[in-house]
Amino acid sequence: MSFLNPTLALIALGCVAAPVVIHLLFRRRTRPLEWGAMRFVLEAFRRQRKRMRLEQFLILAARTLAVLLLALAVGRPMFAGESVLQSRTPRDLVLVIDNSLTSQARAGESAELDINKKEALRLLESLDTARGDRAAVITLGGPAEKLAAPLTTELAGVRRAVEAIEPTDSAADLTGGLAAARDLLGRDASRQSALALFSALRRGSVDAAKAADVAESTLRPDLLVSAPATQPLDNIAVVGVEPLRSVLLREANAPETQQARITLARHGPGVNAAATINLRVAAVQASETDAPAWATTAVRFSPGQESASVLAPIGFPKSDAKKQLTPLWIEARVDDDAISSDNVFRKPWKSRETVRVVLAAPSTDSLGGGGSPMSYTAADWVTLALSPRTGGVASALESENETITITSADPTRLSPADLLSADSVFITRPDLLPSDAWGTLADFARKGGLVVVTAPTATGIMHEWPEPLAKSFGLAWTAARETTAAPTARPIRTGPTESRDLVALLAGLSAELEELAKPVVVARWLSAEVRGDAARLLTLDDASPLLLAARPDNSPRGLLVVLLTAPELESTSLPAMPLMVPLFQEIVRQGVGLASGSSTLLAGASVADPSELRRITPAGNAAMGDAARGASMWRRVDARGITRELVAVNADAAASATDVQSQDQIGVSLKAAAQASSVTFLKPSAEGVAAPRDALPVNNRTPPIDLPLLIAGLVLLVLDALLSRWFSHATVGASGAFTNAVAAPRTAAQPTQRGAAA
Amino acid sequence: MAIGENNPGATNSGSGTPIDASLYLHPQTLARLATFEMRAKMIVEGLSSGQHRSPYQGFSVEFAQHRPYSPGDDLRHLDWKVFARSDKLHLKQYQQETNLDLIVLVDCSGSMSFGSRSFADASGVGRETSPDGRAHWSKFDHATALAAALSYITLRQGDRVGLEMFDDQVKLVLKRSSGQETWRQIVSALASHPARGTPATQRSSDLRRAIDQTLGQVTNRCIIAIVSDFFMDLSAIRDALARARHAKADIMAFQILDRAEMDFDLRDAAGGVIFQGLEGEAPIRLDPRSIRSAYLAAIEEHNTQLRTLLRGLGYDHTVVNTHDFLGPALAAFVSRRNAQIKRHLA
Repeated sequence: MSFLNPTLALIALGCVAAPVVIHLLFRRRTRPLEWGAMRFVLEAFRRQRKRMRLEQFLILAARTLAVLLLALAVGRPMFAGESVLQSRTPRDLVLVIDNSLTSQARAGESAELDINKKEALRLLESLDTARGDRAAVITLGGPAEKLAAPLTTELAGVRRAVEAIEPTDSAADLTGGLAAARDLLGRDASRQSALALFSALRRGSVDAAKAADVAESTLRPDLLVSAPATQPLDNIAVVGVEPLRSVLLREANAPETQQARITLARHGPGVNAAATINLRVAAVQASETDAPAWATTAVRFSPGQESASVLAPIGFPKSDAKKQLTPLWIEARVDDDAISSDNVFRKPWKSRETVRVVLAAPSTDSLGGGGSPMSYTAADWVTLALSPRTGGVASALESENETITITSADPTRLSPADLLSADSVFITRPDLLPSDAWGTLADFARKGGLVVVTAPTATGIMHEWPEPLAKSFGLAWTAARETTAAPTARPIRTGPTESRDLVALLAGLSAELEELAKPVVVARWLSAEVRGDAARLLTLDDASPLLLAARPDNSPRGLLVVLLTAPELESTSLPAMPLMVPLFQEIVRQGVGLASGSSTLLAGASVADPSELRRITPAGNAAMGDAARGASMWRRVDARGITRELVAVNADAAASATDVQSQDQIGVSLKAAAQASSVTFLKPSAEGVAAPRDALPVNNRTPPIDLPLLIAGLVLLVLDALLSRWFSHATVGASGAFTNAVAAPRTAAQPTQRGAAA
Repeated sequence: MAIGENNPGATNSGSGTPIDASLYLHPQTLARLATFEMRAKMIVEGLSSGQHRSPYQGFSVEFAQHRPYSPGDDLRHLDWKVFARSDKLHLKQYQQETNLDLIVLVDCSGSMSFGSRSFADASGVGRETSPDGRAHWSKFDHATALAAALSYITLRQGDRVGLEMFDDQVKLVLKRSSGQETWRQIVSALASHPARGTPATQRSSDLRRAIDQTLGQVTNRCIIAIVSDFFMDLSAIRDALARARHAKADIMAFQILDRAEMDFDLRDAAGGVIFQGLEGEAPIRLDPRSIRSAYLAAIEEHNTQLRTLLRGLGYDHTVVNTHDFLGPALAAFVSRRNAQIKRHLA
């Protein structure tokens, strides 16, 4: 037998001795009464002895039993059949276990996830299958996952599920986990439901400062929460890797010059101190078996600095250039700390022998090499910019060993076949494109292609092409249908950096772009009012857009770049200025990489076509599920098994925060998030200590005291009062005033007769 | 008699310490008792059988004095001449030829030290405590007053009075005397006895032994006034009275009881009351209310048997409550006794 309120029960049971103790205390205080007629007292006692003993026994028994029953009522005994969950009502318990990246933190020998699993198993022991208790398990590593669901009485299976929980590198999906738990609990009024959240509750898992997004519900379960961690830990995470060159081209025969921008973040008490860490960056080839050649960079944090962004050289393996062009990724590492998974960040790096550009422009005489620059069309200038040769445009087109190879296509008959092997398409005469060609171009872009459009600036005509362009690419803006011609050419400026992603298109020119743009003037252009997520890379002096970049349908893949003036000397001085070549080179070299889309995911994100993915690291044949929960490298293959791209899954740095939080803050936040009726923090149990059997709260529908026992105790108290009254013969001599004849003789009732004793 | 008139104090014969007799017997009570007569039943009965000399021979022989008539007096002794002259009733008194011997036998056992009445209320002179510092009026105090009163009445008649105090044996004997100092000696002996308020002896009383010793000391018939609570075995009382009857002694039994003993009206203290006996009984803790009915039944049964026993032997039995005033009780007793004697004579 156990007690619901063991402490109260112990105290109350101690009170069972109260009648005897009180009796003994009063016995000790009583003063003897000298009595003359003692022989009659003894005689009366002899006559009444048996009856008096029976009366005393009955009164003592009634009092002791009454106190005992009241003690039991307060203590709420639980008999063998009632098990240990302090309630006769069957219980549903959903164990919500945090296996997010934060749970990998190690404050001692064990990871916090292991501690949480042990605590969860201990609580699981408190359930009783015989009573109909059920349990389920949900993990919080994003996205939240139901490991053992629905609620089941097969507790051994639930236990195995808990033991098999592995850490993830994703952030905790608290909202999803709690919502799933509430769905499991349902609204069965005959059962008592409770959620038990096991987490170290570091800021990376549950940020008490952020309000949880919850759906309103009438279900109000009890929420049990493991004790939050109290030891702050230092943790440094690599949160981003961005190579300066998004595509590694064949010309990079001096790979040691390649750099990447590495972003780091640090958490914990160490933020307040200066620190220097070693950052190692290397290019890793998928087929490479040798250890990566790390390039080490020292990163210095000043006191209070939480994040750092550094340009670090990339270490390349010592192999021939051709081998360098196999699929590879950039890997950045820092030394191990509290959480090891976020110390690595991988970024697939595209490599090309050449960038293939399709130039959709009509053939002109000037391409033959005889014309003057004043007669060069936009296509000519683009050709020269992409493949600058002293021999002019003709030599540029004839070159075979260029990094950028240009292929001509007829814009009036542009078909998907023209774009089969192209990385990029340049449209210098969009007005010549048939209407269906815009759809072809948009499809090309959505598959990861770069489409560059330069606007023809012929005056006196209505341009029809802006509308199908905008419609096909899903743009929220369009260019004007008439050319704007300024009497005086307008200078240009660098655009605002409202879109970091696309601004990276000209990141390689960032240092010189402003200087290069200064001498450029524009005389004709198409005006446009840009809305949406388009990036204005260059503008006129009145901030009207000149060079725009946008994603088709705002998707992460594909890139559309629109120059709202024709790169011809009639319209702008750009072709003759130093900006021309680097501008178009950057558009192609960076644009091809940006257009192919990011193949870097954060753990917990959903993955498109997971069946096409094959894991590279860590080694193994595990298949990708709907979401990638662990940091890993994958290659996407086509139907023939040929690798199309690499996909990196990195730890979610949002879960790297190892700061501790106060119990009060978390309690308020969790109560709101779970819409719980109560939040109870469990006391951490040491090794070898019994399960927290008394942790689960009492069923709200069950009174905390045993009502039948309470009533029985009260009835006995009433009976005791009646017996005491009856046995004491209180109705006889109730006015008795004489208590001690010797010590306090009674005063005469008739003071007026005083003095007449004899 | 000059007792209490010019010398309200009696002298303790042992220590010489003056004892204030008014502590126990008020002068007004004494004055009232002066009109009482103490007569012996046994002598009257002897006359009726014709074997003994007439006790009234003195009445007709030698005139002594007049005294006012009191109810119960024999009208034959009225002096009609005085009545005719003064219109007042006076009796003629004569010097008896035979004196009455009264032996007052006072119980000084432990139980007689019990009392629940305050001394200030009972003593009559305004003192809060007794000379030995007690605040309560014990049964022995009341016995002292009663013995003093009986002695006073008897001595005033010119008869002899002796005193004996006993518990399990006779403790003190004052020989019979009708002298001037007898009353003082009796009062002093009683007032200075250590058993009067404290259970000094813790002894029970042995009436049989006391009667035996008393009868052994007298040769003539006498009146024996036993002043006791009679908290003793009835068999012992029966034996003692039988011996006194055999010796043709007249017995007057005064049973001194305290009202608390008779009512047994005690409030219950939590945990009960520890009753401590005054005659060496072991203490016992009891709830007084639980035994009250049995107690009252036991004491009533004892008193009834005692009364039956005494009356069966022709002896007087008077219950004296320490909370009552002695004068009226004693007057009623004397009158009743004289009326009985008169009825016997008639």
